[in-house]
Amino acid sequence: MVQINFGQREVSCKVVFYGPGMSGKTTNLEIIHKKAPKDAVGEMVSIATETDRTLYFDFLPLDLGQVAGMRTKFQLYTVPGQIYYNATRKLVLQGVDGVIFVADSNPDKMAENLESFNNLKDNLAEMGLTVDDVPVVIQYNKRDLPNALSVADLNAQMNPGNFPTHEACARDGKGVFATLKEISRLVIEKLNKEHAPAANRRRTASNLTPAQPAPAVASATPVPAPQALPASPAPVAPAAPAPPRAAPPSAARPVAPAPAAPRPAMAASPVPAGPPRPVPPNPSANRKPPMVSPGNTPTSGNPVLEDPKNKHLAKAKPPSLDNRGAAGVPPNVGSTDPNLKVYQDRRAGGGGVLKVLLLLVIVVVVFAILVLFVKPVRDAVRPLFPTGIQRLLMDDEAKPVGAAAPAPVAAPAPVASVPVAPPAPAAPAEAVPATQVPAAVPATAEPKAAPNGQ
Amino acid sequence: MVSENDAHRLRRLVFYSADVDRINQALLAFAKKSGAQSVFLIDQEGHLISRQGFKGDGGDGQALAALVAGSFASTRQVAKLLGENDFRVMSHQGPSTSIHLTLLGERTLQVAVFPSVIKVGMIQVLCKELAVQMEGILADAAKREPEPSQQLGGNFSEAMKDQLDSLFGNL
Repeated sequence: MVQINFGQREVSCKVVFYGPGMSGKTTNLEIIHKKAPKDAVGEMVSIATETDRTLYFDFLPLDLGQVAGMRTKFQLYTVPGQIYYNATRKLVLQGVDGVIFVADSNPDKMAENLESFNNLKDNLAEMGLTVDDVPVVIQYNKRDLPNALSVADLNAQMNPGNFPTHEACARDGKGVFATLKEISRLVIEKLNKEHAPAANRRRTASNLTPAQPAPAVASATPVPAPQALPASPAPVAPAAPAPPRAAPPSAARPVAPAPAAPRPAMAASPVPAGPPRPVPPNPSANRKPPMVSPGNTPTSGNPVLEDPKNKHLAKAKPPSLDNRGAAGVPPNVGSTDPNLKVYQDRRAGGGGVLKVLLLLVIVVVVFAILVLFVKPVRDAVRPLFPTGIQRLLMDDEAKPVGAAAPAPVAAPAPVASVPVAPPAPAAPAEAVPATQVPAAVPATAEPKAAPNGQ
Repeated sequence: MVSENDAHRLRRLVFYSADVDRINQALLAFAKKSGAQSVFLIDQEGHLISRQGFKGDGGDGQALAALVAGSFASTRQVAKLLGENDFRVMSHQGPSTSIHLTLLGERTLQVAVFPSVIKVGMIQVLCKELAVQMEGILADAAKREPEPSQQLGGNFSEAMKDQLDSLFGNL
């Protein structure tokens, strides 16, 4: 669908290169990227496999500059040609404004050409369109092949619908821009008809209601009724006063559409490509109804955000989990919800285990602090510990106290006991300084020598 | 009967200046508030509607718009395989730059490009706010009557032919 943006003064159209695999669609795009003026083409993007086969699409933006005060852009896409990529072909085809069908002139590829063209019709039909609703140009590529089919043969098999055709050798760049110009012209003509001011539209209004019973507008058109289209030399743009292929006087187009005489014969001949192009009584009836789709109405599923007065408050401080149901707020807790942790705790078992563990850790830490730093407690609990820990507690106690206390004061009684065994529990305080005594007293001194010496 | 022009406008394919101005203002305010590098509004077919921001991310934005639209289209098919109509929000996180996509209605995408240091949760909340605002603007745009001063000229087709000849005439 063409997008017209009067705010940015831009018109944007989507053209898709369609065709069987290896027919030269990506090559067309590469040539346009290479040869077009640098200020007209943007960056080419290709989503391809490791072997350079198109996986999703190739994309090339084309900026044609200011046209009648509007900056006109074309977005050129290719589709993956391989059969099994039909899903991605459909995606790329969405909203298409014009199709360049790149056919391979190799006779061995004719079946693939036909299959791909039918696939194009099927995919358009899924979008409620026919090949009559969308401008189509057929490019017969690889004309340099020695065994290339003649244009007449190709037309007879592939083009019962009398679409504009162009011969090309995309590898050398021949015919690439002629095809591009043709599709651009057709797309813009169609756009101009649909969006022209009312006065202009009245002159070309047959594209809107061709099959309706003789309104005044239709009677004013010089164009025959659509039912006569198969015989008309201008099937693609029925409302145009001149056929698109006859309009350009330049003789550069190698495959200028043949005179009207052979075409009806081709259309009438049995063609394996399928039945002749159907002409629905009302082409617009095949489109999706041009009404507002349900999705165009604002949809906000979050009632908290719908009220602008409360939305900031609701986000900053949503109701607690217990009050969610009453407040009409969904119970889902998102990653930004301040109550997320509570919610997770509840899901993990209400948080009871965590609380018990935390309490236990606190008790152990407090107990350890008391034992290490409060002497009465340490004394009281020391007997409860095994011998090794009792000694450890003694050592811890001895170091700070021994350094501060005068060494010889309470030496006599415990001195003898130091090398023998740990002091009795009844006199631990006296035993502590005694450990310092041997350092001051010679090892050979008798136990009673020290007090006597003083 | 709805004319083709009206049909396109209702399908959000025609945008008038007043609506685009409102869209631009909303996008710019979002970019300033969130610290996003840039923010785009694009069509599901890859057409760029508007773009605002502080850095020139993604070139002129057209390739980014086309690729994002393609990505969203393929993801929609994934959603359908899973029984959903579509995924309305998508997020891609990179080491330095991330992107957050929000579907507006059925055919418009809001794209925020932001540095990865910004919390995704915050961007998500702000994008949701912007989406509500943007839905309102787009709903108003769908109701807007065509302005006579904003129509394609009758000579648009002829001018286009001349332009094509001047650009590609010798190729």
